Amino acid sequence: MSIEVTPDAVLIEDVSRQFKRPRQSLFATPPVVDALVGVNIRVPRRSRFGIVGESGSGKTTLVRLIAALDRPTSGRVVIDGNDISTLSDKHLRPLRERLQLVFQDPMGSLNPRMRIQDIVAEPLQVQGATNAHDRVVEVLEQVGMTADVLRRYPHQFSGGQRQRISIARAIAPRPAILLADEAVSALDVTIRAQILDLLDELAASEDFTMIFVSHDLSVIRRVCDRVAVLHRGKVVEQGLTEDIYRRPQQQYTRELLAAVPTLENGLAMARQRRSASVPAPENE
Amino acid sequence: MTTSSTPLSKADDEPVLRVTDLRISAVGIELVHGVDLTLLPGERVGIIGASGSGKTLTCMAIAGLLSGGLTASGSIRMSRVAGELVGARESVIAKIRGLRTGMVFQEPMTALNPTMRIGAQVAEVMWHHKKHRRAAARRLAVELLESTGLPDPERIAKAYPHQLSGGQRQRVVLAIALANRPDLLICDEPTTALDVTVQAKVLALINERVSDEGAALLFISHDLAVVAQVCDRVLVMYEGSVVESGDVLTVLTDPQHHHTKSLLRDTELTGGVGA
Repeated sequence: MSIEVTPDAVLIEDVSRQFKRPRQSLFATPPVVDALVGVNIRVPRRSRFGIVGESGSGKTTLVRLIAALDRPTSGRVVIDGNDISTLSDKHLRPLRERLQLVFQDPMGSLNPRMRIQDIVAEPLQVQGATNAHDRVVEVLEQVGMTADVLRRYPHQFSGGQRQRISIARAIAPRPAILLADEAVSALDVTIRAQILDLLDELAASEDFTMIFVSHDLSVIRRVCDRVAVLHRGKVVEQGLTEDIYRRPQQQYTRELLAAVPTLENGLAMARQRRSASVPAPENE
Repeated sequence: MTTSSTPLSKADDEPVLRVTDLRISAVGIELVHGVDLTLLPGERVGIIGASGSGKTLTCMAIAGLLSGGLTASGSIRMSRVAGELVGARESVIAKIRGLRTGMVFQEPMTALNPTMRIGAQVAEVMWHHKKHRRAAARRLAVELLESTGLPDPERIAKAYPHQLSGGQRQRVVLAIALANRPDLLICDEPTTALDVTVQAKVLALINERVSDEGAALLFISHDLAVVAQVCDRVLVMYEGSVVESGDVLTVLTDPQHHHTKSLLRDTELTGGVGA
């Protein structure tokens, strides 16, 4: 439907975002925190793009800028060829209809007083759909839930099920961009694997660009083909996930990879402890 | 190879903790079906399992922290404690908790009192158990904070929990848990709320401090890779029962139960996109 002149779903050009801290003295200028410094990111249409970094790296600031919940101090954020950094709230509405979010904590993002059918239908109704019911049932099925959940409330579901409901709500209005901010970080490994499989399937079958934010590079690797590594507000490295995973060029990326607990280094540590403790009794 | 620690090999190796046939029920439904667990001094045991497998209930029962509506049966015994801990009065358990056992929970923000300064919270556990007088406890609190690698411990002691990051808060909780040099440290998903870089640092700290203090460790997690980093022995729980147990290397390299196998598969997010 949209004009295919701009190949990029999201283009971030030299974006900086500063936050002013409260004044600490009457005579000094208030301190400024640089949350993002000169960030350049290009997210090709229909790609699966990962943003990785530790807490405080600026991931969430970047998510807020892409979702137009915040504005950059300088630079441009271009979505589907439209520069959104200068648009007024009224003009942002078409963008908001094309971009949907999935957050980390599914309990915090689902209204506890609304039934599942109303939660999933809400973005459709906001966009003027008159009969949302069929679409609601359809997307719930897509995320692996049956129609008998329609009249239930969020507290009746487990964390993994709630995250499925959040995903159903996000994909219901057929967004052009799905933005997932630490969407699996609150889930245990079993559920995490299921949700990642689901996102993987949806990204393949649906027609959206997925931007997936996480602190865990192994999670990103599971679902994203490209990744940008964020450190102290700067992109230190970006490219194909497999390249960066196998051949990280930057010291920080290597540290980030080393911090991911893998079974392999866990077992190596267990063996090390063993060999350190076993000779001791023999020497006694 | 399979049993690295042969129990009762030495006569003076009295177990720190001996749990026998622990069952936990809520309103007539049994949730944990007879857990047996023995921890020798300085031993590090992990409990792994998916959410709802009963691992947290088991550790809450050991800490005497089961909430109302939950009842435990079976036996929990600690070394140098005369009585049975299952069904013991709160006054009995209160003398053990914080003194003989330290606890680290998943969410450090809810484990700390938001209206108390950090230093006072660390000191409280020491003077409460009459290990030290208040003034001495306050001085020791700063040293303890320093031992957990917190920068500028004097300043941290004066701060409130909300002024610290998640990783810093978890270091404070660990300082409190180890303040009275307990024989047993219980950690329930201590790093699940932290990001991977901070998690790596906190795990290294737990490893280091537990070795320094010679405490036994009971470590609960759903992440096998994390458990392998800190534990020597592991129990796998599934739907309220221990389905597999043994040396961590054996269980994680040659799993027998299908649940252990599926946990291993989910831990290793092998392959990239479309693989």
